[in-house]
Amino acid sequence: MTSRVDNMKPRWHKVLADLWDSKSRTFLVVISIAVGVFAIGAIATAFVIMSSDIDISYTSINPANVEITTDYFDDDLLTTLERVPGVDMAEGRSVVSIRGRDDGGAWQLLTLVGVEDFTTAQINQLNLLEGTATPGTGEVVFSYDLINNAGYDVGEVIEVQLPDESVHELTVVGIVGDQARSGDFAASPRAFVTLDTMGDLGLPEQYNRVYATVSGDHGDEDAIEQVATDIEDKLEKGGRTVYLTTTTLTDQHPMTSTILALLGVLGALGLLVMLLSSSLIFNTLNALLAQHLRQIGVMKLVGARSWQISGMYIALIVIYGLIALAISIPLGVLAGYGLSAFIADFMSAELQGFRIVPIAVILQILVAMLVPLAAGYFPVNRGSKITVRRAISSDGTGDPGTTAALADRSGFLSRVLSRPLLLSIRNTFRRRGRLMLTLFTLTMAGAIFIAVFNVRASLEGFMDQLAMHFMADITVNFQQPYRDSRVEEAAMEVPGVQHVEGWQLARAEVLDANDDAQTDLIIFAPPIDSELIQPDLVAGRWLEPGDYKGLVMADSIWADYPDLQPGDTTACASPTAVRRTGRSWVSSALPI
Amino acid sequence: MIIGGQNIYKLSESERARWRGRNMGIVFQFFQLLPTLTLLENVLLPMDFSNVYAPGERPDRAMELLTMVGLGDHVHDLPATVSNGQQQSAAIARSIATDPPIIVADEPTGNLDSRSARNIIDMFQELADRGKTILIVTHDPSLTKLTDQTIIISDGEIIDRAIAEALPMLDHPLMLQATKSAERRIYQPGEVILRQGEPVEHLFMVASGEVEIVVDQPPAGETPVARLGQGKFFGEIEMMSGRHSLASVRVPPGGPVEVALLPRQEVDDLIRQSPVAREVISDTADTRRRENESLTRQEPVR
Repeated sequence: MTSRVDNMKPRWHKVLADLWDSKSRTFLVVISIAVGVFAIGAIATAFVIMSSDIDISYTSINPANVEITTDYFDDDLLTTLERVPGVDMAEGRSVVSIRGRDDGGAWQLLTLVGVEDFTTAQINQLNLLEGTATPGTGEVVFSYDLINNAGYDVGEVIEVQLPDESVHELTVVGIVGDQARSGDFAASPRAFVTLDTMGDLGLPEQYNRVYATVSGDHGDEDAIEQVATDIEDKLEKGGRTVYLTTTTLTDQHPMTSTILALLGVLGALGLLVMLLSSSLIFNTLNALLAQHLRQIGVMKLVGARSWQISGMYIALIVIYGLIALAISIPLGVLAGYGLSAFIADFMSAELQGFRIVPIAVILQILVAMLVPLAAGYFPVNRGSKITVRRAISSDGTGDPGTTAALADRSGFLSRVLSRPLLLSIRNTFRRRGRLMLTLFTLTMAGAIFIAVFNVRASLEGFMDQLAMHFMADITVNFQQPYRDSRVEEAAMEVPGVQHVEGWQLARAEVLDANDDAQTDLIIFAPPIDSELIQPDLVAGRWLEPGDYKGLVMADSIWADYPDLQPGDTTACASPTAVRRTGRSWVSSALPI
Repeated sequence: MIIGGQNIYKLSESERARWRGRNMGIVFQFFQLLPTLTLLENVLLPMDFSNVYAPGERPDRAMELLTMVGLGDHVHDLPATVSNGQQQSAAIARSIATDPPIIVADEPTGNLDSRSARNIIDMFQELADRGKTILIVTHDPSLTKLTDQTIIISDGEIIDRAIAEALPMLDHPLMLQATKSAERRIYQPGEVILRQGEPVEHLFMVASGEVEIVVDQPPAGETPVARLGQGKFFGEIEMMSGRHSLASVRVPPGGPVEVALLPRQEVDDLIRQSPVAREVISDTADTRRRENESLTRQEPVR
């Protein structure tokens, strides 16, 4: 650096010159700081954007607070449901599982959703991504997200196969985002058609799903549950069976907590990176101060006081931080928004636009200033307070020379090893503080690396465990009961099928002492000798022949009934049959 | 350590640094200019740290000092781009940047060629002429000749100045040995240090003041034969011959005299180890004996 600012004091010239003349060291320290600050900035930006934008985006589609799967019903019953107290809007959909393919390719499962009028539908609105969001008769639009993508293009004509095995053609006219279903890993791609199209396909032009929003507090879970119960009652009084009811809040995307937890994990990794950075900064500043000891001694001899020396090196650290900030703030903002956009795409959500998140920038500034200062405090403090005599007599290594022979006190190594090798070993152990810090850094880095892979392995292990728990490769749900023998016979005719089991599925409710429904249950009834389930028992035992009214609960029941133990009796009832009559079951085991 | 009435070791670290900056300039053997600063900035640095001179005046003063040491054309050069002699000149300019009364130089010519060393010595001479106190640590005898006062340090210990001045032919370890054996005494005016005819058991070295040598020879009575000042020794004739004192030595009016006394046994040991010392002391003894004889015009008194 040859240009000088005339009005600047020479001590600040020295700080700038030190910065400029040791470019590799400056680069190393700046990058050390910038990496951590960038990571924290990116994660904080994404966290703030995601925590607000996905909920805003979700709210904008007017999500259903209540979704009920039931038997087919018509507009008259829908009108009745609209009058249920607490219901703001109620709409019906027809949802059918079908198969689809293009160009004679492989069939894939699709969920066909029939809507009366796309132009007037207000609940669970779709975001247009391509083409049109209002298909006409014989036309279909597909939902798109990173997980569930049918892979069909606008303008393409695809074949769909209905449950009666009839095959029809539909023209793809649009791609839409469906936030109401985003993040559902198990869902099949959703295809939207009009009820007229469903009629043309020979499917009922009625609804089997109720979507409702509540008129009261959209964030009151209890109120929404109550409205859902009232709608269920109305449907059941209308002679329909309620198969499944889900409730959600209007202003909270169902995936919000998952996404924020994921960002929290990334944030923790960012902090660990910053911790590693700080040890690198500590080591580099230690080396810098050691190299500068003689200069510090000279400065003290010409009148510099300790605080003036400290000030110079603190200024150096602050400049390192400022340069790191200049790099990491824009990159952090861009990466944070990029990450948000990626996750939003994954969730079919729309962000509120690119922006700088002040709190993330403030966090970056704090981290970029405080962490290096904290890491540099000890070496700077020690260096600035060194006596002139020691500083002047320093050889530039900052080595007190007391630990040089640590590795070879007995003299054994010097007899056995070559001189260069011995020199290397001695240099390694010459400064114990530096050695310990280097080992700490390497150990931490290794620990983080292993931790990340451990998390991944644990997740995979958990998924494998889940897969072991329920081992069927293919599950086919029926909307009405069929004889086991008939289904098994048909399934076994399919090449590749090795084993078939028929399971019963029923919805139930846990009742309190007053026979009021407290918690919904989905009851699976596998054959007693089922080969497709390997329960991981937490307590009690699995079902055995003769377990009449025996029940094995998933351990998630402990969230609602933490005291429930094997052998206890709880009252359950089917909401569609003998509701509130109360039948006793025995909770005999609690598998995961 | 008390300098100018200030006990340096009673100052805090910060106060000491401030004191150093304002009162003491330092010149090193290896210059110790900060490599990333220009010569001008190196000279500005003490003024900056010590907050001496108004900020606006500092560059002019630094320029003036560098010009004074012959570096007016190199003020914006980095230390590494100028010669060793020029670096030392810049270091001298830096040492006087705050106009300190004391300049300490550690082997200032030790790393310079003879011409550069000469220039540096001239600079010190000029600074001394301006009233600066210059403390030079050196092994260079040519420098010691120029000083007002020389303190010899051997193995970290100060050698008695009276011994160093009286017996310069001894090497430093022997000087140190003599220092450890020597005894200091102060005599008042009129007091007799040696009485003629009495046995002599010490070699006397005048540390300060003046002594008078007197020979008592009837019928003339006492005849002054010589006066010896600082750096001179007496008693050597008796040391070498083993006789009793040939004359009396007393303190003349005017002031006390401080004398370093070296025991006979120590003197014998020294001259045994140092043939040069034996020769010098012996020659001095012979010369003085002849002078005494010439002055008294008769045989030495037994």
